[in-house]
Amino acid sequence: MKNLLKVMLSLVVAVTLVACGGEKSSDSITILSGDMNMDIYPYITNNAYDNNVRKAVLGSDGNAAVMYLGEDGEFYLNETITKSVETVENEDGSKTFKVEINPGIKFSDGEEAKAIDFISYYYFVGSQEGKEAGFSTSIFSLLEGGSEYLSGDADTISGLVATGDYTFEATYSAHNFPYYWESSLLAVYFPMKTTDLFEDGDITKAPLVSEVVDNISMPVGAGPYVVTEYKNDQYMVLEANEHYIGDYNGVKPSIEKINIKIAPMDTDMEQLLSGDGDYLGGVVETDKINAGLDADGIAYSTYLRNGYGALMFHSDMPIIEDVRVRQAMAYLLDREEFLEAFTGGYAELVHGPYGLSMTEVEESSVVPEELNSYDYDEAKVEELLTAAGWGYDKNGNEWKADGSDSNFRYNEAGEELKLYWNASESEYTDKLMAVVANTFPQAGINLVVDVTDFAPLLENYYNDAQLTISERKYSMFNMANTFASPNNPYAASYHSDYYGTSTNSLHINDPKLDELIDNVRFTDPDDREGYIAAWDEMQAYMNEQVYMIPLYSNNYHDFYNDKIENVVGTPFWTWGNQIHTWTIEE
Amino acid sequence: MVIYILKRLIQAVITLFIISVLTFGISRALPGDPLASYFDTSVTRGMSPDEVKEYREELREMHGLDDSYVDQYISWLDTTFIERDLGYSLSKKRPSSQVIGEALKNTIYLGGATFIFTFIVSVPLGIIAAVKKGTIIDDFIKIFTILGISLPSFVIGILLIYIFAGILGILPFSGMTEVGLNPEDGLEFYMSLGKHMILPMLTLGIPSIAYQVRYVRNAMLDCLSQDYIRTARSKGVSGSKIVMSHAFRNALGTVATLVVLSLPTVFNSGIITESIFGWPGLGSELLSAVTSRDNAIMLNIVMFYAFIAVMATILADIVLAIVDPRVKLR
Repeated sequence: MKNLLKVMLSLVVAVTLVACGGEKSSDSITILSGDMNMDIYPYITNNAYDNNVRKAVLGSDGNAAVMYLGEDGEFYLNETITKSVETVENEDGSKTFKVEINPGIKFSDGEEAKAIDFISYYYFVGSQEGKEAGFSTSIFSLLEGGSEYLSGDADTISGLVATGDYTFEATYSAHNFPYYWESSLLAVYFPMKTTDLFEDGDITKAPLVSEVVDNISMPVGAGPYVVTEYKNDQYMVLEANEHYIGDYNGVKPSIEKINIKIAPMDTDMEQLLSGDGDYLGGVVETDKINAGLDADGIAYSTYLRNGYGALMFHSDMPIIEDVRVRQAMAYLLDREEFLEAFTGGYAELVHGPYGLSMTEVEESSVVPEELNSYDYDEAKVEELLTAAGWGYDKNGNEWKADGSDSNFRYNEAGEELKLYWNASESEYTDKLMAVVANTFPQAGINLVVDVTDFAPLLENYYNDAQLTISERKYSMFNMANTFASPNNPYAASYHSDYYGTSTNSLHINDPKLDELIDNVRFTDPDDREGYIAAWDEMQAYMNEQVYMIPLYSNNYHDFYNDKIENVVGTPFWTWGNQIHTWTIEE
Repeated sequence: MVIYILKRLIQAVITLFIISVLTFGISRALPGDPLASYFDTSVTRGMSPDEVKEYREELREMHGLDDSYVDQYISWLDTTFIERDLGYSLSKKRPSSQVIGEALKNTIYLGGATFIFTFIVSVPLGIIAAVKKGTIIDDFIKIFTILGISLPSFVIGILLIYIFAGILGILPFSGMTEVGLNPEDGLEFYMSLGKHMILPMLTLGIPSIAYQVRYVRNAMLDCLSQDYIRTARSKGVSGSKIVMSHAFRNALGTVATLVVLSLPTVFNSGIITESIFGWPGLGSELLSAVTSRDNAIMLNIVMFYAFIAVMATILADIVLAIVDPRVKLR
C-alpha cells in the first residue's frame, strides 16, 4: 500500500514534469531488444536476444573462445586465447585436438581462467542434475564418451579432459570424420567459471544447478562485458570488463556501459527515432525500414540474410512424396508477387537452401545462375500433375481447368489431390495465402490450410520421432530458417540418418541426396575447390527435387545512432559479436 | 450474515474447483506438447531416432507427462495447494513462483494505480453528468463514455503512444522505468515509474472510467428523482448539500459495489495493454505461457484470476449489505 501511494504521488508529479527527459551519457548506448529470458548461461533456454548478451559477456562465438567466427562466416583461430592446437588422428578414426590456452585470460572477477574452465560447462550441462533441469546441447553425440556421460553410464567424458592448467584435449568420435569444417569443432570452447558450476570447483562433485538457475542472468564470464544489473522483462545493463584480455585482434571495449532495453516490436523503431535507443538490429519490416532510411541522425547497415523463409514440405507424406507434385507447386507459386507483397522489395529470391551472403555462393559456378527459378508457368503445372497421375476429375474423366475453385484433380484410383498445410497466424501466412488462394484450387489442388499457434506448428513440423506417416496430417508448413555456422547439411534437415527426427525436419529419405551431402561434409578441409564442386552438385539436386520452396531471403537492416562507429553489417554476426569494437564519435 | 458468508465460501470453493478442472482440461487439450517448450530441437540434434525417442520418454516420465490426466490433475492440486509449490516453468527454467511473483508485483503497480485513478475521475464525472443532465456537459460526458466503451484498448493505447510519445515526445513509449533505476533510488525511481505508467494507465482507465461514469450517473439520477430530495429542496437545503449529503450518500451502495467488483482490476492490467507498452506483468506472462504451452504458469495465473474474481463478488455482496441497510444477505 505504501508503495502504491508512492506510485500515485509520483504519478501526479510526473504528469507535471513529463517534459523532463533523461540525459544521455557519452560513454553509454542503449540497444533496443526483443523479449529476452535474461538467461545468460548457454544451453538452458534458447532465445536469440539472450544469445547476443552471451557473446558479449561470456565471449562465446569468438570473443573469448578458442576459435572465432569471422564476419565472413568462417572460423579462425583466436590467438589471443589459444597458444596452439595440435590435431592427432587416432587409430580408430577419432581425432584428438590438443589445445593449449594462453596464461593471463581472466574472468570479470579478476580470477584467471584455466583449461578446466574451458570444458567444465559441458560436464555441468550433461550431468544428470543438469539434464533433469532441462539443459542440454548436441555436443555429447560428437565427443568420445559424451553419450555415456549424458546417459549417466559414465562419470566423466572420456573425450574431454583437462591435461594441465593450460591444456585440454577434446576427442571427437570417428563418425564425425572426415569433416570439412573440422576447425569449427573447437569454437564451442570458451571459459565458464568451474567454481560457479561445481561444488569446490571439482567436476566430479555435485553440479550447482540451483545456484546457476538463481544466478542465471549474471554469470561471471571472460568476455568483453559484464552484466551489472538487470530486471526481468525490462532491461539489462552491461559494463566493460576491466579484466578482459581482448578479442582475436586484442581489441577491448571502448563504450563503458551498454543498456539493453526490451522494446515492443510495435514501437521499437519509433523509440530509436525518438532517441530512446541507439541501436535496433535485424529490422525486416518494410515500414520500419523506410522510416529508418528517411530519418536524420540514423545510420544503417544492410546485408542479406543467411537464411530464408520457405514453404517446407514433409516429403515422406502421400502425394507430396512425388517430386513432380512438388515441382508443379513451385511453378504455381508466384514467388516474385509474394516477395514484393511481404517484404516490400527488401529481399531477394533464392532457389535452394543457401544464403546469398555465403562465401560458397560467391565461388559457385552453379548457384544461383544455373538453378531453375521455377517462374510461374501454368502449362508446366498441367504437364507435371498429369504426369504424376493427377489428370482426372471427380468422375474419372480427363481433368480440365474451368476457372472454378472447386474443380479438383483426382488420380486413377479416385483419390483427390488434397494437401494439408499448417500455417501460423502471421502476416507471412496472410500474404502467402493471398498469392495461392486462387491459383492452387484453379489448378485442381485442394489446399486445406490450418492456421494454428506457433507451438503446435513447430511440433507438427519437427515431429521429433513422435508420429508415423499415417498419424500425421500436414505435408506443408510455412517456416523461416537461418543457417548455422558452419552450415553442415548433414546436421540440417536433409540426411536420412536422422529421418524421423527433428534433425531431418523435412523428413527426407533420399539416398542420392545422402550421397551428395556426404560428398560435401567428407571433403578434405584443405580442398576448397572440391568442396565447392560438391556443394554445387548438392544445391543443383536440391533445386531439382524441391524439398522446399524458398520464398524470400531478407535484406536485413541494422539502424543506429550515427554517432556510433565501427558497426559491421553481416548476417553472421549480431551486436554481441562486435559491440566491444564500437566507438562513439566525440 | 456469517451463515451467508460461509455458504458463499463453499460455493466459491466449488466454483474454483470447476474452474480448475476446466482450465486444467483445456491446458492439456490444447494442441502442442508441453515438452516442446522444455527444449529446443538442437538438444536432440544428431541423435538417432531411437535415441530421440528414449530421451523424450525419459523427460516425459520425469515430468509426469505420461500419467493420466486425472493423476496429473491430482498431482497438480497436491503440489499447489498442499505443498504450496507453484511448480516449475518449463519454458523459463525457473520456479513458477519466481516468474509469477515478479509479474504480479508489476501488475499491481499498474492495476492499483489505474484502479484509484479511475474512481478519482469517474465518480465526480458521474455526479456532474447527473446533476447537469441534459446540458452540454452531460452530452460531452456521454460522448466520452460511448467512445471509451466502444474503442478497443489497443486502439486507445496506440493513439496515446502516437500522440504523447511520438508527436509530442513527452512520455515514454514503453517499459516500467528508465534503465537502471530501482526502488532504492527513491523518488527518481518512482518519478520514472509514474511517467512510464501514465499511458498504460490511461489505456486501461479510459474504458473503465466510461463504464463507471454511466453507473454513477444512473445511480445519482435515481436518487435525485426521489421524494426525499424534493422535500430537501422545498426546505431550502443548498444544491451541493442535496447532491453530496442526500443523493450521493444513497448512491454510495452502487459506487461501493462498483469499487469492490472492480477490485480484480488491481491484479489485471490486461494482456493487450501490457504487450503494447512492454509492461512486464501477469498478462504478458500469461500470453507467453499460453503460446509456449507452459502449463505451470498458465494454470497458476488463471486460477489466481479466478480466485480474485470469485472473492470480489462475495466481498461486493457483503459491502453492499453494509452500506445499504435495505439489502439483506440470506
